[in-house]
Amino acid sequence: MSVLAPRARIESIPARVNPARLRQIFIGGLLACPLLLYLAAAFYYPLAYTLAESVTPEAGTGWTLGNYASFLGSRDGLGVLVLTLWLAFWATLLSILLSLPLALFLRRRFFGRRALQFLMMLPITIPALVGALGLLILYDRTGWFNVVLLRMHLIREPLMIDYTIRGLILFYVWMFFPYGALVIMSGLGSIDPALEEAGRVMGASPLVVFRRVLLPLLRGSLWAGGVMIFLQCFGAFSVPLLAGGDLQPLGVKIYRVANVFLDWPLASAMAVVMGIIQAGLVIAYQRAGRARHLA
Amino acid sequence: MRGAALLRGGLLLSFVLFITLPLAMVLLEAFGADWFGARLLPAHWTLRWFVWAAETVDLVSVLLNTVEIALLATVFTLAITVPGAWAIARYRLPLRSILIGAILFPRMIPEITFALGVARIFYALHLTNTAVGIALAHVILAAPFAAVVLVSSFEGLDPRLLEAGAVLGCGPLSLFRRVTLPLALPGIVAAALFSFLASYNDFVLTLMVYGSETVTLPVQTYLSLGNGYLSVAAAISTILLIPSILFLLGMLRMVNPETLLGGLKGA
Repeated sequence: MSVLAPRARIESIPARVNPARLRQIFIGGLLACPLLLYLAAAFYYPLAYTLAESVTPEAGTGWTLGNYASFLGSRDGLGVLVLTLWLAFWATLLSILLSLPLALFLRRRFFGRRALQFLMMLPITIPALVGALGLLILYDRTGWFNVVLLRMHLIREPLMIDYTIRGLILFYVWMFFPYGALVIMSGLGSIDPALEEAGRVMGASPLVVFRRVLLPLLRGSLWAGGVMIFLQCFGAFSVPLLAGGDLQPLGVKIYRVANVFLDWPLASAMAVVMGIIQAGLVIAYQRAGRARHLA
Repeated sequence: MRGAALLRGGLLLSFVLFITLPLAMVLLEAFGADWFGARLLPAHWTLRWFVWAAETVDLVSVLLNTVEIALLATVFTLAITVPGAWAIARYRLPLRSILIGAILFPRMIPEITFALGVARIFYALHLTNTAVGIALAHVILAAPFAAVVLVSSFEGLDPRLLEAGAVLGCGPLSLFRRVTLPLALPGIVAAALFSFLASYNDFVLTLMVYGSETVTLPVQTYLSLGNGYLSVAAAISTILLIPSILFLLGMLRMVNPETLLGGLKGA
């Protein structure tokens, strides 16, 4: 994160350890202590507890991988994983397809641009629950979406959207596309306009300029935005809990296994798998970004 | 040219509708009565769902719970992140990048993955169903982003101003009060607002540690929906929305939306 990049200090500190340096580390460490202790107690300890619980056998002592086996080895468990990834994949793809033209539109200054940016932030700022509630009403069999299409004679029967896979994908897009749009917008902002002009001057049509100049330069932002949306979709909880019906992706399934079936060891194993996948994606993405940066 | 403008306008209009209509539906549901079948608008306008919510689920105390927890979470977050961020920004601590990674890690994995452990441990410590306990859980969400905002704000302080203050005879305490604090205030306010909102809006962690005494607005929305009171849930949602909207309006006036990315997270 660029804001955290190390900066030059005012004090020039010699390389060898001296009392002033020790004092600095001591005071700095003391100041950081409450934050670190809190995170250790309220976040890392629970995480370790979940990890320990996931390998605890039902009875007796020792440890077991049985919970992982019954999650990853069962048709149901794999189904949950596939559903989660499937939803995230399609929602990400569609979000990027929505974000790209939007970011291109919003690039120019025009009346109401600020208002549009505000609107774009809405889905990721408001509680996901409220968004899910509104989406369910809008796309209901008797909701505005279907009523308007019926009255315009574009469809004969109401479309089934709520509680279907395509509905859930649509809801994810609504909820998470701003992450992509914002990243792409900032990527577009950092492209030198002279490059585009050069393309135009050389006689390329706007479409060719987009495909041969803008798109290659935007590749990094598209990936970054895509990964960000994918991670949000993969971790989604409120939306599928409310609007998923029988479709229960990983987050919802973990909650149900723990709170309804009270099988905390199994839920813990699922949570560990989920955490590892997500953290793995983040780290792999950051590595790739760094490699590209160095190349 | 004319056609292109029309196409552009049409696309922007459909985008605006795509974003806003779901929220408009929540408002219609909350303020409308006899809205069913193929009607586009409710037959009557009413405040009865708010009255219902106040009478049946004790909306007022739910709202007070939510605000109390959010204020506590904000105070806790600032109490630990202000010194922590100061240390990261102004002292050359060893293992700096590992330290920052450890502080940001809670925002890298889905809430539900650590909510299980939090529920178990908070239950054992009798922290569930208490305002302090729920606020402490919310600090996990608020602290990483607050720390990022504060570190960048503290790093931006011009050291020459501090030196000038010291040269002119300020002691360490009055230097902090009269120079540092005023300069760092915008960052601290932003961190506080964000922490408040993160707690006020949180659903996942709250769901794992709440109890009958500590129902918050998001949880009550979920419970009312589960009981089949769609309109009551919409009425509660309307109140739930207010701080987010104010926050967005305020932030858009001050900062570029892209800088908000790290902190906002819809679960």
